[in-house]
Amino acid sequence: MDLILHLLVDGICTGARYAILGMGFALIFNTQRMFDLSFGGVYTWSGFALWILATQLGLGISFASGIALIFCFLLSYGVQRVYMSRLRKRSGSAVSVMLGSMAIMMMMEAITAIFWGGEIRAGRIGDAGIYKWGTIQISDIKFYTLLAAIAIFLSFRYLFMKTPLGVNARAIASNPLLSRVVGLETEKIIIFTTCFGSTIIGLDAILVCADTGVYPAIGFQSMLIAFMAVILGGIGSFEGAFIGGLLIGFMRTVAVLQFPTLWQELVLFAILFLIIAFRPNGLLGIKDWKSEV
Amino acid sequence: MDYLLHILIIVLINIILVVSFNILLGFTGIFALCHAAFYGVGAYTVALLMKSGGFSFFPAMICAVGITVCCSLLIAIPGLRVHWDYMVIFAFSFQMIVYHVMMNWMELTRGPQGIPGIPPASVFGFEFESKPSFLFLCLVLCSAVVYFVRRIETSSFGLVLKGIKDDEVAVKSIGKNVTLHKIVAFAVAAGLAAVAGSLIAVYISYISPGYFDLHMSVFVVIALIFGGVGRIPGAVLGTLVLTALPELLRFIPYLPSTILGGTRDLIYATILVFFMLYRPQGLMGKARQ
Amino acid sequence: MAGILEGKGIDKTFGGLQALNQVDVSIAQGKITGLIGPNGAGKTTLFNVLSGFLKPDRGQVTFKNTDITDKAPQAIVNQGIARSWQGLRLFGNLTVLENIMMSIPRGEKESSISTLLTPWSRNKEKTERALQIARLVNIGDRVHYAVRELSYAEQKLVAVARLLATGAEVLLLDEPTSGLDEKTVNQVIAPLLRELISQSGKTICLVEHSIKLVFHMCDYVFCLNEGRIVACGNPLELRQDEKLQRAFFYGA
Repeated sequence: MDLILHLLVDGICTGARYAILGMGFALIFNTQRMFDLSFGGVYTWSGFALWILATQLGLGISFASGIALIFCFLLSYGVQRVYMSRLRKRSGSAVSVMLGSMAIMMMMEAITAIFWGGEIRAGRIGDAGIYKWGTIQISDIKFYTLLAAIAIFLSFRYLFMKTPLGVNARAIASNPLLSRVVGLETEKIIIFTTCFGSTIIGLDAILVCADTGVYPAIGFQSMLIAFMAVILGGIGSFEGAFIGGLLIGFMRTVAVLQFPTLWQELVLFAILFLIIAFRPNGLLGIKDWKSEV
Repeated sequence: MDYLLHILIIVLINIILVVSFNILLGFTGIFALCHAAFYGVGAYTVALLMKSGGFSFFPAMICAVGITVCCSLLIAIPGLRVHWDYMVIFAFSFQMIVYHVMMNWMELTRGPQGIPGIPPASVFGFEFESKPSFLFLCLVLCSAVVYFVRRIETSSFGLVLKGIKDDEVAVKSIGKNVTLHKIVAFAVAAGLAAVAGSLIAVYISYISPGYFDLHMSVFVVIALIFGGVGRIPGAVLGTLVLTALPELLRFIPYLPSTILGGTRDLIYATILVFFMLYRPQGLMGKARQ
Repeated sequence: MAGILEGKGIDKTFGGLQALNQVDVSIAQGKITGLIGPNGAGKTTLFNVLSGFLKPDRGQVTFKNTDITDKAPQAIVNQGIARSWQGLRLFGNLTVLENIMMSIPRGEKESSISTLLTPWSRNKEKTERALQIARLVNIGDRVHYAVRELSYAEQKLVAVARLLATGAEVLLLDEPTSGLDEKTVNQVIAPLLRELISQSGKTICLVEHSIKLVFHMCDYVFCLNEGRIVACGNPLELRQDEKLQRAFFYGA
């Protein structure tokens, strides 16, 4: 019984992390309708930023986190303005955007690897606070992650529906051509929502860095998870990404128990493969997001 | 001199990879990040057949091609039931799945330890043991592959592939079966990648999963884009430059190996970043509208 | 008498919009049929349904009295119904000759291996045929240019050539003359269409905005508005209908 409870809690915590990743990417993808993966590089750099600020420069963890978050937003903005925006204008094809954003991510991770090598940096920053309920105990960071996930989910329902930015973003998502016709500055809105989404994802980077540490390839791996969460949850659905992330987190936790460690990854990819093959719209995705003729 | 031969051999094998990938990305416009997986399946098949099954080189290679083609059908067929953009995801997950199978299926592949002691290639009793002789074998096979792909490019089939890259719906409206064409393109590209795999297996005589991972698939993409997507001479040039480049890095004094890997990746990534934005047609491609 | 190509009771809805509502059309064999209507009436949607690119929500499409409603679009082309596109959809990076060559169906003598490995230029028969078609539409002198280098008018001619190359006996042309100058229409397109009917026994259906052309060329006309057929008949009859006159044909 204890084991199951522990499993449940672990699964929820991991799921919360993945849900954050999924929601961030859903925000980016739903507006752009293309796979802009540059947030992977931003993720790595944000994590390392926290590491540098907190351990190398000795700033307090909360302060460092705040700065790292701002850094994340600005970095994402820089990447979009300097590169992705131009790429989208130059050649709007899905392949170009995917390749170009992948290239940016690779570049950022390579730079990190050159300066700081491939080992894991930081690990627990500051003392571990622990929250207890009965036999359940989770670390403070995991608790914050849980709170963050729920907060983001709830606030987004509001933001997407009520604020002008949210409405515009949804307009662009459903009909980019028409949006431009009625005067919406699509590119600006895309940049802003992408930065927002990347910052949400960056929040996870900061949490992870403070908890277990960062390494250059972490951005790529988080990108994969964000990606899978959105696919599983359903393309076009923000709520779906939340649920998708939770489910994948759960599955991962269970997989640890059932399968030998090494097979876990394979299970995830096999699931991705099967979902796309049999239910490409995921759980809650909108149908017909690609029209033929 | 020995080192130069080594580089040439690797270049020739990589050319086979990149030129065969050109069929998918260059001709048909399919961005499939799984070419290293085909490469790996081919290599492992040859390794196992030759080492444990006592096969000689060419029969092993033919089997490798056959098995890799079957694998490609695993992606192509479901990938074509859904909208083709999803193909990208299929191909990518296939790459990851194959990599993890290679890493974890201990009984078959010995996991991360890989398969050592692959016998050298021999044809009709002649062993291609020495570097010059193996270079000759590579040259022959590489030329054959390039010629084969060129024939495909100029054939009616090739024309349809190029049409698919441009406008799939239009291709349907002239009576061609887009799905079938894509499946065949995948099969051919995969089969040729297996040829490359066969060569690398008998050359290095020891293969491990790390060589056939996503990193390698990305390398193939970068080499193609750099050289010129869609153009065979471009594919050759791009491969030549990108394979030789990191070797030159080795000659920089005092460069620790940890930085070497990162630097190489940085160069590749920067090339891709630059080319995607400023010269998407690559070095030798024609500018598209 | 049943038409060679017929749509019966076609319904098609997109989201909340009903694009086609109980549409019945009959394209008579060996004749030129016209399909007119204001923008958004559903003409192209109807073409898409007739040619298999869209499946109707309800209704049936028949070709020579056989049901083809569920067939794949490329299969329908091979059976004998081909269409051109309003947006042309040519292969811009390929040459005119290549665009036309691609559309010519595989000959019986051509094996699969040769399709895969033989340079297309080696097929003398096909190349000749392609050149012939190019000359027929008046772009014989531009065959080696890439399509994206041509003017819009020239591209429209290539689109017609590509359609002809399929060898289909029923040709659906979506606005073949829009953007073309009157000289080209009168001296190239119109005679070509007539020749296709009289010499080659084709069946043609046109979607057109030019009422003048439709009345001039067509044996029978369907008028579509907001997804419904509001009138049909030969041009003479329609001209005499006053209500229609006011709605559609001002200026004809």
